Amino acid sequence: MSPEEQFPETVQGLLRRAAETHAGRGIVFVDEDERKYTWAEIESLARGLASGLQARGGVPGERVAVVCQGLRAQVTAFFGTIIAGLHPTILPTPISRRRLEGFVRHTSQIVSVAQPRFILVDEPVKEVGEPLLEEAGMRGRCEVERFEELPADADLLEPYEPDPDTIAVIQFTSGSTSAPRGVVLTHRSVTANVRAIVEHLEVVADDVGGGWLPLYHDMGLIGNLLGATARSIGLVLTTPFNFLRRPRRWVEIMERQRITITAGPNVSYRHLLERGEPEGKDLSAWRVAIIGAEPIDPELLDEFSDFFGRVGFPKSAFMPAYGLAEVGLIVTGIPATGVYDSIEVDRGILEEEGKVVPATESRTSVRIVGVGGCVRETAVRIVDELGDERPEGRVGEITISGASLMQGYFNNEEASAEALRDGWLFTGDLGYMHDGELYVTGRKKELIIFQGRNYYPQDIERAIQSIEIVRPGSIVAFGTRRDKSEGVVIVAAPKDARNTSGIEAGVREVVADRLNLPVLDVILMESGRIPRTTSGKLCRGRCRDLYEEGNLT
Amino acid sequence: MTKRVIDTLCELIVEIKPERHEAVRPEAKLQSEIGLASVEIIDLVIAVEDAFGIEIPDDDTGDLMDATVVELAEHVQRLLDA
Repeated sequence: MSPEEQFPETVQGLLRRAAETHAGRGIVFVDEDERKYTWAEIESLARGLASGLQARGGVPGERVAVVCQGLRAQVTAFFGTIIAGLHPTILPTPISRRRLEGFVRHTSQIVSVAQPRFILVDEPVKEVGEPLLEEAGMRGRCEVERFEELPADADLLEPYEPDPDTIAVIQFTSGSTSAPRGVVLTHRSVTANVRAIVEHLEVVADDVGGGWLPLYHDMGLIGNLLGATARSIGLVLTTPFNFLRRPRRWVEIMERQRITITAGPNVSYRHLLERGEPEGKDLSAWRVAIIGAEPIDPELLDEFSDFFGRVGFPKSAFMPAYGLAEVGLIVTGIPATGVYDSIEVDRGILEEEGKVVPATESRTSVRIVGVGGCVRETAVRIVDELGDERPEGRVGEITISGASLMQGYFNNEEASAEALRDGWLFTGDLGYMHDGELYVTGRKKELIIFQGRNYYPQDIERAIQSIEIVRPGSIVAFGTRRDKSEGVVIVAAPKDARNTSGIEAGVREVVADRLNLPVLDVILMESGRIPRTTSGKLCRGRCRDLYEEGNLT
Repeated sequence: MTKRVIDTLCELIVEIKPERHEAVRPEAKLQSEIGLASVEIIDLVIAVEDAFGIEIPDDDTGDLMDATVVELAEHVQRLLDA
């Protein structure tokens, strides 16, 4: 990688270059037929789809919501939409036919923010298109199109070359329900982050990416798909469901396809550790295992390295990293050949004073994994509440600037202005710098992160308000992570102290149904005993502290 | 009928979610009452397959996401009888 390398500035430029180089390489969709689609074939499929969108009257600037179960359909639709000058948003698909209602209620909220011209569905999920459109209130302004039925004639394609500073993709942040935010990324910002990824990972032609993360997740789309496109390497894709359902099969695929690069949150490596059964396999090709999207569990790194080390996984493969959809994907990561490290600090002093002090035996400590230094064209600054920079070893809010910052949140000026100030992205994450390396310590906002997905406590609390026997305005939701158990805890006050028997079941049911989130614990207490600020606002952080100390009863 | 199956399922669930052992009852729903996350339900399906030597088809796995323990047991029994 010479410094003078010409790096494409548009997403279709990345695909074009992939199609022109390394003719034999491409994507293997292991759930479909395990045949390889070369990058040239992918481009040709995508150009066909682009011509179809044009034939249906799609014009540059409009949005396309992609609701396809097939991965080849998703990849084709993603690139095809961009080639036609429209902006794709890839959405999840329903996991069960029995739960379509909840899926439609949840997903239509994203559709109503994205205001797409088309909802593109494929055969296995064709029945969700119309209900989504209806629930989002888009009838008359949006059409449901079937992926298989769109005309696809690349010869009829009207060429379109986007300005690198126009929108490439709108990526919705996962989990949130009532007010989903669409991260607007331009071609220039996407390609800048993709370049940072492949250079930081030192990707070479013989690398093979292995991905099972959904393409509606930044790690799946920007990391797996576009990262592979940018270096025209081989890419092996499966769905999250198939990865989770058949961990042993994934380990076999990793061996057979000689996969060298993977990415995922804690839970994915934990799953392979517990259910992957790698004995007798040869996974020595594996050289980069990115881990991020939530606080990294240092014990998991140790256990996984020990266990998978026996089948050739090098400890240096783990790459703890930090990033978020608002910059495409990556912000920091440890070097590709480095070994992860962690610091044991005093938990009390860290949480109360925001100072980093080495742990002593007499007090409780917390082990924090370093997530490395900044990738190219990216800067991190730790700031206090006034926006002034904090010195090394002092905790503050993580702010980011650089070439891959989002343009803002789609059609949401208020949220955009709050997040982007003077060219810096305020992440709401807390952390500190030490020797040029970032350490993430928690969240400033009371966002709940569960298995790599983000949930706003307000959404959970609002869902619970629908339960008749719960007192409105006396509901607190917070996330907890202690030992092996993590999850969301609900504190609620009954309307009538004599009528409490159905509350716990009701809370679990409504939170599972509306947010697809399991509840760890439900605590009932009188409204007056729930911790509040002097102005009467509920104190989620205080509730969590008391809960973790065992004093919230 | 499927008492033995139900007992084994309860043991497998408690192994996955020890902190919720009190909630593990035959009529409890896996997700909304016991509190299993989707990943844990898929873990459970794998463990059930291993414990009974059966194969649960993918299409059924999605539908089992919020089944009760009894419903899952009936499903397992049908596969054992087949």
